[in-house]
Amino acid sequence: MHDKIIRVFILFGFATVVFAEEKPELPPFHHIVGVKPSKAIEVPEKFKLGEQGELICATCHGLKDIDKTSVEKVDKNSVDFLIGGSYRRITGFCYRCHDEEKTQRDNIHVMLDSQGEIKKKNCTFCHEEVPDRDKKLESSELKLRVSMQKICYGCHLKDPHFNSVEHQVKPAQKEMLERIHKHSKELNILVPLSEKEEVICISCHTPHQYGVIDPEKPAGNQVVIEDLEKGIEYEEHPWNEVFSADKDARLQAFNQLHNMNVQFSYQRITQEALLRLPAKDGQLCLVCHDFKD
Amino acid sequence: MRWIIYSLLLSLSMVCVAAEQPFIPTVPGQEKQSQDPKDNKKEATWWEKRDQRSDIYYPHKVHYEVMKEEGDSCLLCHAFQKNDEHDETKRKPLNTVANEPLEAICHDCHVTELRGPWRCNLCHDDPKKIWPADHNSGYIQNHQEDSKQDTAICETCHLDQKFCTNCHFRRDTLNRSYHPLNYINRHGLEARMMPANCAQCHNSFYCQDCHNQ
Repeated sequence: MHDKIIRVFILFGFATVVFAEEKPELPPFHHIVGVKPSKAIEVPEKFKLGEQGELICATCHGLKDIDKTSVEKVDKNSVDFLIGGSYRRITGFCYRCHDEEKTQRDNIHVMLDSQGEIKKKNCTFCHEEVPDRDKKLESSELKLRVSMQKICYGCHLKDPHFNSVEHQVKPAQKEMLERIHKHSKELNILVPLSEKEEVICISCHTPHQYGVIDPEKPAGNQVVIEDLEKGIEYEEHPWNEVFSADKDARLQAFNQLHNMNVQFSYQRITQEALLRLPAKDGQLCLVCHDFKD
Repeated sequence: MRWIIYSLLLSLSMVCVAAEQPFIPTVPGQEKQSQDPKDNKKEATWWEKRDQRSDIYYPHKVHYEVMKEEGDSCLLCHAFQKNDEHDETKRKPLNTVANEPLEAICHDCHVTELRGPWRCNLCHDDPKKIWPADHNSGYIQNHQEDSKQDTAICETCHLDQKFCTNCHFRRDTLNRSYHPLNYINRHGLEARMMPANCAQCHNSFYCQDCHNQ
């Protein structure tokens, strides 16, 4: 009987934790309201300010009483939800008012200066203290500001490219986990997984510029890129025509259904960035994936 | 005594409800069955469904070498391109479209350019799933009209005329579909009356092979 009662309490406790995990508390507003924009900010006419010229929720979201509407009921597809949207990049919305050049931040992944010296400030975006690069550190010694699986979300979205969300799961088969460990050793690379052994952003991507960590070490072994500021580079490829034809009918159906104009194209990657192994020749994929034939 | 039994039953049912499990006696062999309703409701992902598909077969490993030669990789078919759609209800179907190569991609190498093996049953294990509906009943006996009208349609699947000649020109069998048995000994009359009929399949060399001896 005691067992049953304890089980009920455990279930209750577990449900509370799960519930809390699913619905984390967020700050009431993600942008300041109730203040008048400074002179440095140019608010376009379409963005209606409050009666006193102050920023209100409707300035950016147009919708009436949005602050009194629950998140689930807000129509995010409304034309007014992001005034003038949709935007190719979400930051395009911010730059409607804020000056792009003055407000955009440096690429924190560019960690080495022109002399090859480390920019310590960049480390502290993710680490509470600058880690000792010469030591082999346990994950707890890295002193990350948030857990490894969430640290990228401070700047990046969870779904920046196709297949990203689909990869952020625990490998479906035990063999896959074994393969990851085996290949990590054989290829002398680090493939960090979450505490629950899930694949996370940094399982494939390394946040560090080439050379920040000794390339001989698994944590520093990665794709070499000369100019990280340039980022990924592509080249035109005749396959694009075939690729577009393959997707055409399905995209047309999708676009009709959602009244959108999504198009896919294919370009071959010529330069990769911040990857633990090259993906353009499939090496990275085969760390986890294997096929019978 | 009755009250004691009632209170015992009541306590038992409360414990069952609290534990969110019906009080079902365990049947041997069913112990490992999942009790989590989420497990049963979970929709299979596209890659899990892929293994259930029988209309197409794609051997990944076989393609490694040709991919390497061409300078391509997994990314050729499984797009990891930048995603601008963050509404999950739209992103998910788009992700599937980006991931699943269909006819155009496979057929570009295997049909259009004939750079890969092009036997249909290499990838399509059951031809009935891909051929036109009229092929389902005795089409082989009735294909004559179609083949005369528009060979281009036939050639979308039957990529060269070997498919035709394999039957029409074969001489290693007593197949009576085209000529009755012993026709070679009595073909002279028909050849004189309607030589054009013969010429539909045979050229003059075919005659000369025997008649010049």
